[in-house]
Amino acid sequence: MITKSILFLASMFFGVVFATEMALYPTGPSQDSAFVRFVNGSESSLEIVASGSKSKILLNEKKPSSNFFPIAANKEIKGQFVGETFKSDVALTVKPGEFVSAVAVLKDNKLKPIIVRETPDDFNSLKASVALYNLSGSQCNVASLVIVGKGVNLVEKVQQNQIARRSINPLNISVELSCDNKNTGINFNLGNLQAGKRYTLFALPGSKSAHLKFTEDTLQ
Amino acid sequence: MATTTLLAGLSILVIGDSHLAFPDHLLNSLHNDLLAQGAQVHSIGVCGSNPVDWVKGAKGTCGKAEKIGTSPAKVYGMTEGTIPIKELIKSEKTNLVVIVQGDTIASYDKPSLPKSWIWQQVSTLSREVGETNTKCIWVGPAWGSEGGKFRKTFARVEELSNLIEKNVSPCQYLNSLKLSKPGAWATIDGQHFTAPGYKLWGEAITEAIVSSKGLTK
Repeated sequence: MITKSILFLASMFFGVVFATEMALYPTGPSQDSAFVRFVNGSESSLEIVASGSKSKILLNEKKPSSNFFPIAANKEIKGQFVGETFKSDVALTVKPGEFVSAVAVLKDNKLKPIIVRETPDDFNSLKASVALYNLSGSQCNVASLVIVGKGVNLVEKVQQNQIARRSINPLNISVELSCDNKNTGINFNLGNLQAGKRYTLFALPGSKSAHLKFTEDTLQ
Repeated sequence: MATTTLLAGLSILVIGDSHLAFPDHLLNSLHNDLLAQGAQVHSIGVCGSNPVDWVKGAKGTCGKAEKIGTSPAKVYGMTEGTIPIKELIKSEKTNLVVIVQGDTIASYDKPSLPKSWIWQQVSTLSREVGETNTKCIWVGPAWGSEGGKFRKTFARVEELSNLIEKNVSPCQYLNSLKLSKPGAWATIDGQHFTAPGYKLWGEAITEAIVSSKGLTK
């Protein structure tokens, strides 16, 4: 009787243990996500055409940037920026966790892709995140963004081909581009920034002076 | 826990991963504790599920269980999957969603946290719930114990919890790491608790929900 009771208790005990034992399952992906987008940094319309396919996206004044596409990390992708008079091949590889922008700019009368890499760690659904990519070459050696009406910098002293990103409270703000510590009069209204969203302002070379383009960093 | 009517009138939907997918896990303890506070409760756990799996629905890999009201828990097959959260909220007129997710996105066996992927996972599900204007609480991962077959570490679970906390809005974050000391609740494999551990976690979650302002009124 005592033996039976002990066995019963043991089976109850082990039954509980075995019931909770489970198969090993993944606790995450084999590697972090990787993203790429294509941006028209010139002053006329372009298309980005994927290599080996007929897929293409129009990048114009209204929508200068594609969404961020999730792609396989560490695997080269190729394409071509195609404009009315200019073309430029682009090839790049994205590492896990990176958000890469391929930005086509016109330099010395040639279309040239600039590859900009971000590995963000400022994800925050209570803040808006705004970046400045200074790709304007010698037209703006050191770029800052001044919040109009406040006189304070949103981001400051961004060198050529560098980026700066800042998390801010979601507000409706306008910014002015400052180059080499001089206000340029080039203003941009960012509109109602929303919490949890990410945005990028591109400072780009222009026919007369640097210009700004703005996009939300939307995931496809 | 003492029986009260503090949550009376609330229809609570609890969804989550393996911590809810077996009767002797939170599926009974948390569910029954919420019932005891007067709420209507429907709990569904899908082992191994990620947050985004609850947006469109996805097959499971290691078990699913469900409990509705005072009925006994129902255990399903290994590949039974998730149900889109908006469908569940709409069909049950849910007032409060409780999401128990964290350990399945921690990449404990990898050298670094996949932050971009986790951001997508967490923000996508919380935004999906937010679009229904339903209040929600995201219950983050608990300490567990270090090692085991999932290779959980205290440092990684703390890093993960901090990242999830910043990205659950409009849900509120319930930080399970504040509910116990590291290693205080015994586990069977580093990640899953023994039944007494799940009882303590369920009680602590329920107490936090009862005392959270703005969620239950």
